[in-house]
Amino acid sequence: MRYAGPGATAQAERCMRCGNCQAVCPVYREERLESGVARGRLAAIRRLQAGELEPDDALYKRVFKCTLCMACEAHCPSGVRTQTAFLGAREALADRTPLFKGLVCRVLQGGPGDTARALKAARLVQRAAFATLGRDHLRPRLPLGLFFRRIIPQVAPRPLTAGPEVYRPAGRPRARVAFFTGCMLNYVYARTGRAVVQVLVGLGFEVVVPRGQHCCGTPLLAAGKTGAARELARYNVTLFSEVRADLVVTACASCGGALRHGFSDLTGAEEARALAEIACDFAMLIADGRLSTGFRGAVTYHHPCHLIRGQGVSEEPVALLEGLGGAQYVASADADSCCGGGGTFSLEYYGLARRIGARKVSAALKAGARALVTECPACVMHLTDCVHLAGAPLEVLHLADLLTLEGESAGCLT
Amino acid sequence: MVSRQLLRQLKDILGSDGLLSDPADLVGYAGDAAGGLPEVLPDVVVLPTQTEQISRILTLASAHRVPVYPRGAGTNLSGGVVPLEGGIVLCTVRMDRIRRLDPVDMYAVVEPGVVIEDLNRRAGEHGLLYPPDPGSVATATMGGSVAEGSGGLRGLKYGVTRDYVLGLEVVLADGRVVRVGGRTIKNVTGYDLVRLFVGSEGTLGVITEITVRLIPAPEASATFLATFDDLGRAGRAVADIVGAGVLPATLEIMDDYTLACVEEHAALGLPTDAAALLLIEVDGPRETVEIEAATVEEVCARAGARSVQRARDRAERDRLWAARRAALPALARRRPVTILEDITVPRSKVAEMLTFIREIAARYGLEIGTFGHAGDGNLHPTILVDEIDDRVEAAVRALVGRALALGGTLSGEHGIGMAKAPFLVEELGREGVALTSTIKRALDPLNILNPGKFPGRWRG
Repeated sequence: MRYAGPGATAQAERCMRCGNCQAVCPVYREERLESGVARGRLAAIRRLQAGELEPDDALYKRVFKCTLCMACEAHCPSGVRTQTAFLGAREALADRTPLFKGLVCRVLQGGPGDTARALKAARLVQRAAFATLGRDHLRPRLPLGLFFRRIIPQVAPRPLTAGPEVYRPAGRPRARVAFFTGCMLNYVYARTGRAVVQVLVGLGFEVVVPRGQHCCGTPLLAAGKTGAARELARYNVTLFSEVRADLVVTACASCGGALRHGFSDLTGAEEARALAEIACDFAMLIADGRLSTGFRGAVTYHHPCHLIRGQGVSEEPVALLEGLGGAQYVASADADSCCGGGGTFSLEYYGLARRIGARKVSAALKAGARALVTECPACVMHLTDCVHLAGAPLEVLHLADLLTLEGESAGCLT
Repeated sequence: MVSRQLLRQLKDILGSDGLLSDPADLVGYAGDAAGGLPEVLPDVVVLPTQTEQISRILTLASAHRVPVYPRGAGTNLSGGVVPLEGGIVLCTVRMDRIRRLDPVDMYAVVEPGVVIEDLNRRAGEHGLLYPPDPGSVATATMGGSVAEGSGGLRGLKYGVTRDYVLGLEVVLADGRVVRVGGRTIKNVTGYDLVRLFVGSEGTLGVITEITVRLIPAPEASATFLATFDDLGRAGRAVADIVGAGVLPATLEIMDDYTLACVEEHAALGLPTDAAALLLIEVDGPRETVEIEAATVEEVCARAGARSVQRARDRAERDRLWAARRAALPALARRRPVTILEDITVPRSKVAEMLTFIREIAARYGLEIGTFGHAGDGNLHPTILVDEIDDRVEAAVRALVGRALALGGTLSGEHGIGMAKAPFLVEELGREGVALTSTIKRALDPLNILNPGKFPGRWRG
């Protein structure tokens, strides 16, 4: 497909050119380029549609150098749905996908078996080329250049879905909850995935981790591979509809967004809408629980884009941290701005992603925090790298990790 | 127009990171925030970080006779930064340091790419304020707002950009760097060259450093939203408030058409059957604010306001302001083309002008919503159409004509740019335009700075 499509173009036409998006765009903040902010990108989309711009590599870079954080969409006085416009443009440029990203997409498209095998192989490579750093992360043995100095998470020895399928609480369960793990909590931060289960079971939920569940498709959608993302959506919708759970919980902001909107937008299926109705974010589900942490010190929160703007969840995680026994919550500036991770964005534009992330790290330090807590494993991965490179005395933790950290007080659920 | 040789020379000055020539980049610099004007792609965009680079760029541009279009954040509303003849767009957004902020002498020295709101955030740390606040404060740059002579919502009490600029560093068309003005409040040494460059819209030089005056931030404020069943009564309230000795920091008006659009768009619970709405904010020392607030309430009631609502806290203040902030976006989404006018009349003529705008809308069968800064007479009749036609041109001509006849001006704060260039002579007269051209020729004899705009040739 050559053009951005009627949906994308209609949104691009609605832009009134005010430039207000400059005030909130994390990429513009670093680069100060019109082509790197919504107004300029929408201009490019209109020109592409009019046949005045070629869908070439230069345009690919302008369209994909965006974290899809949706800050411009939330801030737009004209209500332009920039996400729709950008994804349409990405679809038009999908055949320009660079090799490495294409490979990631191929693996995700291949189904859960392929993904598991590919990650098993990746783990072997990791063990040869990287040394462990802390509990879940690795640093390269040969740090050549900036990109090859980055800290990456370790592929888990066993994916979460290889464990038990049902976890039962003591006593009668409050509800039956299906856990949509997403790739990161299944294959990489499986320990965090288990922490999610542990907290939920501790609060009296029966947790089902359906086997055979697969990528939510967000990385494919962001890569412009809409058809492939639709296939994954259909697959997951069928699988989760058969679980017959009261709720479907996510602890990854992007997967949550897919369940809440993406699946039904992509498939238009009734089952997808039904799933969206019962989809629930981890923090929201546990908001009324009495919780504490073994972490001692000040904690601050980073709002994942796909949670605060993608799903409208912002108060619950903060209220939870404020009421948390053990730690003190401190607010940091721009807590709702993007960390620069943006899925494959940080692979393609690593230097830029780091500069964006560095701002989050210094804001957390300035607030006096010792731990930066968030609710998206992709943010955890990117922020961990940024913290390490800054040599900052700061821990990056997924909310579930914070709640299950062992400390002076025995047990986290009081 | 930009030769390969010039491109190479520019790259030597700026490095590859500071120069854009790919069409995918250039499309973002073809226009600004003004609606209904032609867009033109530049040949190249340069993003300098130092005055010295700008000086070298202009020296080169003079040698090659290539037009240079200075640009800030591109939020201006008159087509002032459209690169009509191609050439070089010189964008100063990367010069974004606040060089100095002196809380004792109360001034700041900033680079042109500093965003207005960022300066105010820093000033606020010292209890100070830089009052000019165009609607785009969160994005517009100091360089752009000085070059455009921006106004804003605090004009009545605090004045506009030109009232705060103490000194400038400017690069002239031939690359020479000059400093004009200083940092003291009083300064009558020589011609007032600072004011020559303020509002010069990039036609006389490129502003590379700005020294502005700061004032102590007001201690308290009180915000009101008043609705009226009659446009004339709202106009009278505006005059009466000021007549009672109160100078509100903000005194904004919105007509029934705009009000209905805002309500449809934002659902703020505004009375859509009201004829006009006033947003009033007084500020100053706490005791004074209370006295003035009582006066505002009393005057509005006497003028026949249907309701007067006072914000009790910050959240309520934001709610009252939401209506005003939503005005332009709410209007702009009605039709594909938005023509935002900027006529300004003496305060006592605001009611008459508002009534005339209604007549024009009816006469030409046009949808026109009006909002604006009633306190300083600066109104924004906004014409909403599917495409620009003869009716629009006739309506604009009539509005400008009446504003001038009432002792006003064709542009209060948006500038001339392309949008108002055809009307310049009507306000300045032929002698005024001739004088303007003489100044232009003296400073830019090769006509390379923002050519095609005022006092030049652009004629819609």
